[in-house]
Amino acid sequence: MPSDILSFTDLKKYFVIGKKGLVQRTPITVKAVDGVSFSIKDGETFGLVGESGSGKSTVAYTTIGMYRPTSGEIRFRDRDLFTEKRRPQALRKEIQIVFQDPGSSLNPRRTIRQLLELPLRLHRPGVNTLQETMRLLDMVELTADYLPRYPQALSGGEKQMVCIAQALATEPNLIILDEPTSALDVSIQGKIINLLIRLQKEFNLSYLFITHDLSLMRNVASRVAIMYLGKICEVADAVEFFRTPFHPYTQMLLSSIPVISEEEEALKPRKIVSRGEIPSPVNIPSGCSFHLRCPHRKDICSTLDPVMVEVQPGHLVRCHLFGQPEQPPADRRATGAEAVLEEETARG
Amino acid sequence: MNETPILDIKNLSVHFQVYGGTLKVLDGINMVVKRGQKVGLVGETGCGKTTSMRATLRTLPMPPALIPGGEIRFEGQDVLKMNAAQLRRVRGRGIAMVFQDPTAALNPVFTVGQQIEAVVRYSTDGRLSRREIRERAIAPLKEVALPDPERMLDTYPVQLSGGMRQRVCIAMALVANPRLLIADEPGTSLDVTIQDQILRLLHNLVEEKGLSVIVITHTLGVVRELTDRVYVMYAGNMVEVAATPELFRQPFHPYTRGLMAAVPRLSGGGVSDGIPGRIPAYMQPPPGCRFHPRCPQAMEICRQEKPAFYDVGSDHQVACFLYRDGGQPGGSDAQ
Repeated sequence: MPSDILSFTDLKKYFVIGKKGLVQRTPITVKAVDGVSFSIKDGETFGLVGESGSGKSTVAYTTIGMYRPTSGEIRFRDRDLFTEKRRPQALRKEIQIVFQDPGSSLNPRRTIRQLLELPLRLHRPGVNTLQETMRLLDMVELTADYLPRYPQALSGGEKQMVCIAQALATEPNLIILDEPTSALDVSIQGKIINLLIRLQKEFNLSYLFITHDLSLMRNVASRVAIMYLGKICEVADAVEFFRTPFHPYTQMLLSSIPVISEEEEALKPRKIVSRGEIPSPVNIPSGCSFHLRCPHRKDICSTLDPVMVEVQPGHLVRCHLFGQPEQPPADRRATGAEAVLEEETARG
Repeated sequence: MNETPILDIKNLSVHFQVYGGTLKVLDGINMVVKRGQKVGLVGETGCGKTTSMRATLRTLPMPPALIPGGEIRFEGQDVLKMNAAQLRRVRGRGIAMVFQDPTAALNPVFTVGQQIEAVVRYSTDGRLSRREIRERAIAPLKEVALPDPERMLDTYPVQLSGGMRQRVCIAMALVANPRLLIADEPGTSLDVTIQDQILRLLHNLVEEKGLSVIVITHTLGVVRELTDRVYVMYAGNMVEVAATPELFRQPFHPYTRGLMAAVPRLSGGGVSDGIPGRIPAYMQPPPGCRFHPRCPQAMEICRQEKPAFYDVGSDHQVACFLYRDGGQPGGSDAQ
């Protein structure tokens, strides 16, 4: 049983986006991530799925340290990522990220060589940079000819290869892939995905793979979590997840995927007609945030937010349809998050 | 059968005059859309899908664009030869377009009502009273099933969700009761559950109002769910045309086959490596078949001559020399 490389415990990240009220004192907050818990095992590809605005990128950015969590914790191999004010360099090199749009994540005024040398100088001083940059390019199936070129001379797929090489430069254990292929055409996508799978085997990497493409997820992830409006509604093994989705949102999601063959059509759950709009994250509905669109809505759904329950070993669902604990834990809402938030608001 | 098609594009070429040369983007494309038909136009980024549709609406900036040849017949009349007054009657009233990104297509500083009313005024040549204009602006909002259309007129685009913005864009296109609707990537920037709603809406509009629709997309799944007939484009050429079920049952062109194989399947089994290489530069496109540098089955003739369309089924044509004498796909490329 492999151990956990990264674990999230009740992670919350709220943003204050303005003030309201008579004297402009009441903060308007966006609960981008609101109590997310899951863990990633060593060497696995953990898929995080959700539509835009569901908070999946906020989870990623918090993990690499672009944001500090409002409350909750993220542990990397049993080490809290946010104990120190500034994350130690030795820890920073362990977790790397590949962003969605390779066109805007590479500095257009640096050559590929300069782009690859920077992380080497920072994290691995003393290494032979030229030799190492060539080795990195080779790993992502690019030739040394690319070293003096600028990003604009590369195609989208090649740019993404360079971004992957950059992430590999620090010899990380965990790479966050934030929609690595959604800016690329399908004919290019396969090559990137297969490269990532090969690198994972070769260097025993763990991936947090973020995407909204469920068909792609089916082919790369070992476990999957579905996010909706800042919360996770279902976690399961990928195969299991696609065979028997439990949460009504997940079922709606899977039945809405446009597919290209009858064989796949047969794998989709019975058609659940999608209805309603995704609410704004500023104004999340009370109770279960999905209740307004849910075909199985009960009275309780609009008042009480369900908790995660393990329906089958390793398959967790957050829905009132699945045996909620008798006594809801006393006041789940008022945790440290509100306190921290008030403090932040007061400061600025 | 002899009815005039609603849109008939014949041998259309579009070039762009840029610094350092000419980009030969569209290279003589043909396309026919019949009344009440739902046609898909598929291809990768930069293959000329949107360019061909913008040429149809005559909204390409000229220069740099120039159209060296071809005709675009809308209900029998050549759009390329129309004067400004005739164009006004085609745009909006004849053909309407729903653009790709609903957020970018709506002006953030005007209310939804102001923007739709502007379209109403344009399409009625300013003959209506204010009250009539407002009434005509509400009607399409009802058709796209937006809640509370009265109130919707006074909201700004930022107050709406992505799905609602897309509906507003569709409503705007419906204002003047067009006969042909061109939808550029409908719903693809949205969550799949919302995309599903938009596709269903388009489907219902076609059925109820007898519209013809062209859907531009690079998502094959969307084409399969929505259309009756598909045109596959590669680098400014049509490469395959077929009835939708026929194409998904048996794609013939090596490009279409590569594209289909590259789509990740819900049934699992890994992802194929895709198609090697990249779309050619339009400054000096490859001679002969533009796909030959990436084609696993390229032959000598492919480098020299541009293939014509060959019949491979009752409603299925392929522009590929492999099928000069009919025949089935397969053989060496089957892996």
